[in-house]
Amino acid sequence: MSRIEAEAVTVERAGRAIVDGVNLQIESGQLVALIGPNGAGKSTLLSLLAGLLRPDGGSAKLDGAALTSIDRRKLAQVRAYLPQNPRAEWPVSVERLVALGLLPQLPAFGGLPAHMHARVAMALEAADLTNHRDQPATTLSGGELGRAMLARALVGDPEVLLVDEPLAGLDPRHALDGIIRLRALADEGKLVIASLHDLTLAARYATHVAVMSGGKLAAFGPTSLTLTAALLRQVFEVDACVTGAGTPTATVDFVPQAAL
Amino acid sequence: MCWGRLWFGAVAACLTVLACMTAAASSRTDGRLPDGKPQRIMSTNMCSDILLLMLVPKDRIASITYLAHDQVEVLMPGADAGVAINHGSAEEVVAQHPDLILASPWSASAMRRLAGKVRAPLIEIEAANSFDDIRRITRQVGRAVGEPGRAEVLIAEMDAKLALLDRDRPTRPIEVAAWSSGDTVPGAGTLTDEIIRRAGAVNLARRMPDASYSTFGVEELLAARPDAIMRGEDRYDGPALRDAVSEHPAIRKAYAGRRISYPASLYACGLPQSADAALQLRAALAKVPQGGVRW
Amino acid sequence: MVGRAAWPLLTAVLLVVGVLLSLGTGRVWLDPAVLAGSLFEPKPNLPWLILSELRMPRTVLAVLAGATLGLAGAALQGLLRNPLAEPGLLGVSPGAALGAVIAIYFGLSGSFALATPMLGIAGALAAASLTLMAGRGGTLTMILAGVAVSGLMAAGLSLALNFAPNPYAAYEMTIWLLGSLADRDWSQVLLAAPFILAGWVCLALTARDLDALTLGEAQAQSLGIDLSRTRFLALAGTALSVGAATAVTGTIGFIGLLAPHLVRPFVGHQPSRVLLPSALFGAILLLFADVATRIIPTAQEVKLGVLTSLVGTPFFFWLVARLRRMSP
Repeated sequence: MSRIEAEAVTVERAGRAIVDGVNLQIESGQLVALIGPNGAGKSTLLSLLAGLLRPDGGSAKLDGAALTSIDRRKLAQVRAYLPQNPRAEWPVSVERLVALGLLPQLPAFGGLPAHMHARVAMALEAADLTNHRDQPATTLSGGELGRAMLARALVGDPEVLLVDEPLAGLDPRHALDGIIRLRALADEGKLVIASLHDLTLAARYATHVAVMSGGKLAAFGPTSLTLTAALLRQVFEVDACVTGAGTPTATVDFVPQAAL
Repeated sequence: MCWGRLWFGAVAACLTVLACMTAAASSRTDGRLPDGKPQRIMSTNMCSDILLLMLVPKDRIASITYLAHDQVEVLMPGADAGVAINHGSAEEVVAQHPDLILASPWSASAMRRLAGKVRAPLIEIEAANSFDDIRRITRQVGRAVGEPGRAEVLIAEMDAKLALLDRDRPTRPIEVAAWSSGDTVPGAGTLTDEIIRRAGAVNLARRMPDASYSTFGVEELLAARPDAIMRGEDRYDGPALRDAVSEHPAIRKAYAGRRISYPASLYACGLPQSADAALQLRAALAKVPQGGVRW
Repeated sequence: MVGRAAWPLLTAVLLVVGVLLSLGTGRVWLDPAVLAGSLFEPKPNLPWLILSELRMPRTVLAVLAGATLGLAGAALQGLLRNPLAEPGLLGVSPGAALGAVIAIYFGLSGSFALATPMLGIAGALAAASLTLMAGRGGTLTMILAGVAVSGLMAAGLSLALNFAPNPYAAYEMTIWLLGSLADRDWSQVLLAAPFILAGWVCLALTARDLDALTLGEAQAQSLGIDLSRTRFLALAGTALSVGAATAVTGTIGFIGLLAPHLVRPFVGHQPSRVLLPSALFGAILLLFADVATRIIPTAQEVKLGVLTSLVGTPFFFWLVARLRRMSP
């Protein structure tokens, strides 16, 4: 059982608050969709909650301990993070790429221990990438690479997963695939936070939504209660039609305000 | 080749004629005392600096090169006190207003133009590659500065020393290599070679196919196995890498007691004192252990 | 393509052949049998002298310097995820050369033997930090920063030449900068070796971090990698090893660029797996290049740095062409 808390976290860049006094509590079993317009501070908040960024004010905690005070390696063993558009810098094989997720678990010296090979194989299997095992990661399609990166993040069996825009640039099938996978992880008892732009997918699969607007947290709560047309109008400045939020058939539709 | 030479000769001849005309033209100008001796002599050639200091009193010297001082300190300490220096620049030539310029063949053409402008005669002094060259150059400069008698005295002193050297040549010729730079070794046709010969030794580099300057690594030097290794010393030698090379442990080990240092300036510039250098070398050679190098 | 299994064998064979050739060739031809026999002859004898005092230090230096360049090249490429990264291109080698030139020609090395490697290291460190600082933010900026820093160091070298105590020293500096292993002795090797080895240790410690950087900086950081430590180790390791090696050999370019690219087809692209093979191949390349300088029949020995540049530049062009194909 893990718990991430943000207590009035603030990040300033060039005198401007990018994340402004955000309070949040997220627990295992939740898939939190972090939504908000461009530049609302979603990515920054994710970095903060991943412990990669030191807040200028307030604190972000994992299970009661400030994230920045936790040993990097220990933190890496329980928390996985995927940035926006992750890419492989070298044409290493998919298997090697996924195995990199085990770095925090590796002994100080030597290569990958035998029992860890099995975990890599399982992660590949779960991501449906077994056939691509020996393919250079740089030659994967966008959807495949996204799955490979997710497998990389999950191979170490983290309790907490933070993903920045995992569905960006994916076709509908792969996007659906991806969000279903994330939801399944939450259902297994993981804590998952993903920033999303596809509000329909968020409405269907996220257990909770956190809405950022201008660096502030505009709303946070269970999807069915929080993702409302009124909120979308306020945050995204569009007229929205939300039906069945929190159910697998939910839809979110927009019309420009001017059109009405 | 022939045509090349002809061309070269033609150009040289033209230059000489031009030079003579300029010299003739300028010799008619004033700026000289009635006895015809130049009073403001400027040396822009490092090798003629010393010669000039030996031939004329200081008050007739406009300037010598900035490179001269260290050499002066070795050969005639204090002789350049109060003498102005030049860097061979045009401005200096104009500012110092010389009535005679001593130049090297390399800088001569540029200098000649300048000399024409300030209406001073220019004497081109070639590099000396033998004692004959030294005699010729000393006489040339002596005549130019109006001190032919003084030049003859210097030459006579030199010849006396050379005669001394020739009289008791050592029976045992020692083979030496003048390996100062760790790079090139002067061979046949160089002043170094002649000094070595006069001192009674054999220049190793004469064995090499390349006539004047051969390149040698430590390995080749050791394999050539000279009896002694000569190393040039200069006061102006700042710290340099070649020290590291000529101090290579392989040479230190193999040539302990067989390394001779020599004043590089007297080997590079042909001066009457180059005979002293040969005398010094003779003395140093006498101290080289009998028999070849033992490994 | 040679099978991956045969790869270690090939490396070992090449290394041994390189070492033997380096010991066996010189401007003076000595029969290998005579050289080998000199071990048992009463000492000192000429072949033994040449072998022990000239060719052995030269060979050891070729291995040390070559491995240094190969290792530093591989580590820098891994750190910057940039196939063009190399000690020379990033200004590290010119920086080291500047430091060494200052030490040698302004009398510091005469009074204090460690001055040359230490100033070489200081120069390398200054250049490397400047490049890394100015070049944050991508492949192109890093290369540009390297060009700028190289230019700065070249200006410093020109200034040193300008202030050379005499014309001969200026000439000698120019020649020294061309890079060579000729006529180096054990004391120079021993002076540089501890720094070189310390640098290797620093670079080797980055292996796992470099692997993590395959995923980019953010993911590497999320995997528990302290990137500032990684950068520091890579920087210090490069400065120590390249600085000390350059202080003895002069600037030798392109080995650091060539070696990692040569080994990747065999060992794959995972940065940690490239390090050791790249170091070994750097040593092999430099050994063979140095042997070539000795057997190419020219009046003046071709300088090692000149040869590596001559061979390396076409490769660089090829690399640029390939990068252009890859990124539109």
